Amino acid sequence: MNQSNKTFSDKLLEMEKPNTTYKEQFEIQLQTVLEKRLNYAWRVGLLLLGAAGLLIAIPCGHMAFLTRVGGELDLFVRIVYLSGMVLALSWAILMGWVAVRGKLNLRLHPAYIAIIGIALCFFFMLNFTGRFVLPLAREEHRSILGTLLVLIGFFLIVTFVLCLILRVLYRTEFKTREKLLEIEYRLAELAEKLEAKPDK
Amino acid sequence: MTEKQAIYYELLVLRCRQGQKEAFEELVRNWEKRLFFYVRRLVDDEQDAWQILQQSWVKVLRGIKKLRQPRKLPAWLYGIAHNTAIDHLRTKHSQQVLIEGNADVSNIEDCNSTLTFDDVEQVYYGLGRISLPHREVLTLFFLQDLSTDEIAQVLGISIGTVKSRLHYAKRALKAILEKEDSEL
Repeated sequence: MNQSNKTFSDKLLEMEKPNTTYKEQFEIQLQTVLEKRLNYAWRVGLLLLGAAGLLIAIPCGHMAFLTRVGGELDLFVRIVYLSGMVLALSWAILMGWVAVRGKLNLRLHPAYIAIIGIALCFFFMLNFTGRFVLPLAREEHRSILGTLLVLIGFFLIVTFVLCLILRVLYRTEFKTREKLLEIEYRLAELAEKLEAKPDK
Repeated sequence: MTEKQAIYYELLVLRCRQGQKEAFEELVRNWEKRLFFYVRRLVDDEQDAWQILQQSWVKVLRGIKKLRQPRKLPAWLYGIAHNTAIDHLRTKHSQQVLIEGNADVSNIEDCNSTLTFDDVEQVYYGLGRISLPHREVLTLFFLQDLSTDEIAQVLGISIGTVKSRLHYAKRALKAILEKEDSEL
């Protein structure tokens, strides 16, 4: 692909004079595919959801660090509440950030919201069962229910930690690949410049 | 395609896959003009061309994670634009035009035509007057983004057919331009 050919292709492209109105419409439509601009009602709603996340994180943090549960399940309960606190804080940060920016990235944010939301629901189910269902159960059934609860809790924690590790690994791999490509690009750029220089 | 370009495409695709809005905007900025030019040669109505382009970008956005060879980004983008435009033409019952246009294509070994085109304005004018399959292959040829193999891939035809179609398309274009010249 020599320079004169390239110039011909560029000149050909310049011959095309698109209608500016259509072009503007296209750009607006494309933006709506990429991100959704939020109105005040949406932003206030998201801020409220974020505040709810904070309100959940505070008692979870209290349970995880300050309250003494006692017994064999002390550590387990603390880990579960710590997970709940981390999830609630992530929720609050995400909601707050989206609300402050006023834009929802349609490629990323819905997925994040779904992941954190599902994990939070899971945590609530566990908490609800532990607090309300278990005390109501008959004495002889409590140990079975308790075991089930521990298993569900364990599954929650393992899933959460696994997702976190996978995400970190994926992110690290992406960053490494990105850096490598940036270096390769600079080297290729340098090689091109050197080739372009006339021999002395 | 230079090595630098290939690395750049890989980097851009990687960033798009991560959902970086800026990367996607850069991709659109770099390719919008070329894809629009190509699509505009396939459909008569400009509004339709913009609509096809928008649908193509939506497909790109959804499919970029599945792109196995980021270095083949140009062929992939033109392929999506081609398929979207064909779908659009089909819905408008214009497929007949495409089929009719294919009829004059016969396989010939190598048709590296000696015909040359220097006047951009004339070529631009002439492109609008040749048959759709000829126009499409010549547009891809003049845009200089794809190799013959890649053009064949985009159009879903064999390399031999691309070469023969290019040969006949150049001849058709030359004939139109000469006719115009003689009339003036």
